[in-house]
Amino acid sequence: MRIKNIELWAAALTILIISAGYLSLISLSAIPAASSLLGHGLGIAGFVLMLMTETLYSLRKKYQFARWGKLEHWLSFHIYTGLVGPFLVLLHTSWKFQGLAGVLTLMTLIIVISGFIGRYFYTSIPRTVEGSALEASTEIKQSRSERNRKLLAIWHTIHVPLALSLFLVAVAHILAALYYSTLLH
Amino acid sequence: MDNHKIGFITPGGLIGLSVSSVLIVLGMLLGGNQLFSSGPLSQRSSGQILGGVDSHAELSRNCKACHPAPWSNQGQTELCLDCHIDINQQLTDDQTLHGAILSTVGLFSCRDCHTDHIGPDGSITTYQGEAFPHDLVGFSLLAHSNLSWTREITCQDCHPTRFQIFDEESCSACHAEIDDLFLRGHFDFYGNSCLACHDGLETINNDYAHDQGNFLLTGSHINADCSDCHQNNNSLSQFSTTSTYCVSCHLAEDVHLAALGEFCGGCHGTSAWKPSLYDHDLSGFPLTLGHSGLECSDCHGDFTFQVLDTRCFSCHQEDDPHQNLFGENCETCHNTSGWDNVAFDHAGPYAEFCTACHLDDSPINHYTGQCSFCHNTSGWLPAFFDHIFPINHGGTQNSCSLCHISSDYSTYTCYGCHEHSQAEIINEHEGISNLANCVRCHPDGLKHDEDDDD
Repeated sequence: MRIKNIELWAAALTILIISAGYLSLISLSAIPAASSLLGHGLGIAGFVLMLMTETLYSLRKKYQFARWGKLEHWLSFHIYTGLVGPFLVLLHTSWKFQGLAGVLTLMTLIIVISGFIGRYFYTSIPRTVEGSALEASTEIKQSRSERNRKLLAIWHTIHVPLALSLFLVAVAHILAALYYSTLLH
Repeated sequence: MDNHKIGFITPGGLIGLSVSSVLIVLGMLLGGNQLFSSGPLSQRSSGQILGGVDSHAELSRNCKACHPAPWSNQGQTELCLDCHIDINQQLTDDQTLHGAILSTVGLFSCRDCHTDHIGPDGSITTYQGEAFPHDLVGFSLLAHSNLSWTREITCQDCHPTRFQIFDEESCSACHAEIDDLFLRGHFDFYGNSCLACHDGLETINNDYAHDQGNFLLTGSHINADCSDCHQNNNSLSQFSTTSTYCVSCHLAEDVHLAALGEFCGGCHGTSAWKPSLYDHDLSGFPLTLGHSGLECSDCHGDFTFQVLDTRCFSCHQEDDPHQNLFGENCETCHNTSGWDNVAFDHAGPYAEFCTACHLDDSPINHYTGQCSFCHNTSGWLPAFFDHIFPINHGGTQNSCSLCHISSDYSTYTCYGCHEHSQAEIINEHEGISNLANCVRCHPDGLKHDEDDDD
């Protein structure tokens, strides 16, 4: 039997484990700087997870060649990486929110919250296993479903540009870090 | 909504990308790349204008002043030194902090120790643990980093305000926690200027006069670390009661395996174990001449020192060429200057054995009897024996045995060569009865007509 919201539990457990490790580390030494080996590792891992969040689920939905596995599993994975990735990025900041990096953190937070909202709209619409929307059986349900479809469309109009902007800012941040710090000689 | 319209490349998404791009570019142009800054630059001033600015904060909009492009030939350190000309000058003098660091650790980057973007009030000097050669500023952290105290020692413990300023009160603040009683006694005794004596290496520098105690540091002890002798000493009483016996530190170095007791100072000084300063005259066996350059182990090879046999024979038995003829008292004839420098007592008990030494001293066909018949101990010549009769009489070639036919050289005969007929001899020597004593009448070996009546 499938556990309801398993992706949320898995993400919570992962975040808990990472938090325990992180707190142990800072109790022994100090908060790892963003430019340290660990700080960079957290940032890179978080960015890769967020990149997977952004691309894999959409590819699976949109393109014929990418139809591997059930769509609901991809959504679960999308939610899991969409929570763990931003958390790792948050730890990468070393709790400093300066300049473009600070904007990037804020955008990440917004996109995660937006994702939660979108998931609510998305799951409120009856769907086939491949994600296609079904017609509601009763008039009341039909009315509510129609309203949610409109809200989902609005949400989508905001969420996608925000997500793409987030990645553009992330790329700018990475390039700037390489230019001003990593490749500094 | 149509499922086929959902994806991350949407018109809205493209618009979002475009707007974000424009905002980033605008931010870069208007903010002078401050957009990418990891934090505000320091407003701290060194009190002088360097590179045209009073503090790093004035360079906030000029990133390239400190951040060269990755492909530039010029590194960040060169940019730092362009402005910090005083530091650049220090690098040429290893008596200065930065010069000493350069000569000690070789090439380094300024950012190994200095950083920025940590806020307007942030110190741009960071202590990088062991990377900072703290001993170059006159105080090693070796002992302090090795301490197993109740907590980790931090920079602020000694430098509560600025790293450049050492607060001497900080010593007593911590050390009172460790041993307040000792500290107060220590201050009463030595004063409270810790750095006057201590350099952080658990050694006491040259300013400390060790002769205030009861153990003057001389020789190799001058260079010893305090902890070499004051092991695990943490209180004044422990320091002042450290054993001054040599063996308390040097027991493991005793090559005599404790055979000579514990009073090392009887033979050794503090400069080195060798040469030993022992006065061998005190032993009753002065080391003179040939004995003076020997190693102790030549005679004391088995570390037996106090009951060693002092007779020559105990070492030189194998050197005796006399086959024990003269006994074991070599010193009767020899001394320590060498075997060849013989001082034989000819009045001594072995003087009669001349040939034991002078076997090869006699000429060919020489008298083989006792040398002292003719010679004395003053020298071979002059020999006091007057042969009277010509030794080479009749061409005898000094052959003694031609006349002296027995080993008794007081007797002789002429008849080995001259006439053997007794009747003829009697006939020719009328009136002479002793015909054996030819020399009586022929002392020169020649004939003559008038003979004495004998």
